[in-house]
Amino acid sequence: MNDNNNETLKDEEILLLAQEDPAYFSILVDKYKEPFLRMARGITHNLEEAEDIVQETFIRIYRHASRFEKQEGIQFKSWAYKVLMNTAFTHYQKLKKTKGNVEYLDPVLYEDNPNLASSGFEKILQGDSKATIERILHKMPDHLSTPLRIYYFEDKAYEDIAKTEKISISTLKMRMFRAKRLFKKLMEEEL
Amino acid sequence: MIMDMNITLLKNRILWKVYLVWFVKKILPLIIFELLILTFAGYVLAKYIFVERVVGNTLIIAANHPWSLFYYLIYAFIKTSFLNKAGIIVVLSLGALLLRDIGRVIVSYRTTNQVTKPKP
Repeated sequence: MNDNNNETLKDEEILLLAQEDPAYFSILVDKYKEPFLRMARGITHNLEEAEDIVQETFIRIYRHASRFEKQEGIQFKSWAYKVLMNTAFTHYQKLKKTKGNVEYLDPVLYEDNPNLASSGFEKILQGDSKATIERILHKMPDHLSTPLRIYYFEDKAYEDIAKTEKISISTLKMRMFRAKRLFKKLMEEEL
Repeated sequence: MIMDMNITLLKNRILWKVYLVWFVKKILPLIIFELLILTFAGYVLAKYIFVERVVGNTLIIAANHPWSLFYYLIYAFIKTSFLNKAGIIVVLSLGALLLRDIGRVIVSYRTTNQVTKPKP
């Protein structure tokens, strides 16, 4: 593996090379492990669960590399995030079966979408996800978008957000519920 | 610090699993296929070639002079029937492919081992 060449290679090319020599996959793992872990942690709020999801995601990416090669016009990054979201959802369903009620996945965003592949999230992830989310948050009133932003992007606990916003936990929970519902509605309009 | 260690351990876990997927999906079926054909070709060849005599003659000739061993093998190959020649070529080619695949497993194992080693 030549480090200088690797810097100029696209993710798709690295994935292709990794099919012949799995050590190349370390470049993709190095590049995406932390953002994936952040996102998975944002969903599960549990490091161990997040690590399991990230590990499963990378293995799925490697195993199903041929499916990506067949989908022209889609960037590796958006496809990889789609795999991550689907893996998180599968993990959630498994946990729900074994442990009963699991709260880590946001019910407002996920319960109505038994198949993420056909949900709005896939479309968001295929496009410019950050810009779409920012646009939706911008349309929302400040008192609803701010807690949502802090909770999901800054990964803060309810207690911290309540302190920052100077409101009680129960008020925050109500606002979060309303914010998620509004976010979902706006997202559907956006897509 | 602990977070960094966790991330490194996670990376190692992922890469070893990926190595295993690569081995099981790409290399193992190939090695099994090559071994099956090689065994079959070897069995068929053994039926038509007196391996014991060839080995015996080879040892006698090698004891005289190492170079004559090379000439003897070439001569024996030229003098054998067309089917035997084809069989020998198949066995040698498959042997070479098998060695190449085993080499790939070893090289990939070493590279994966290198990339999963903690950097100083």
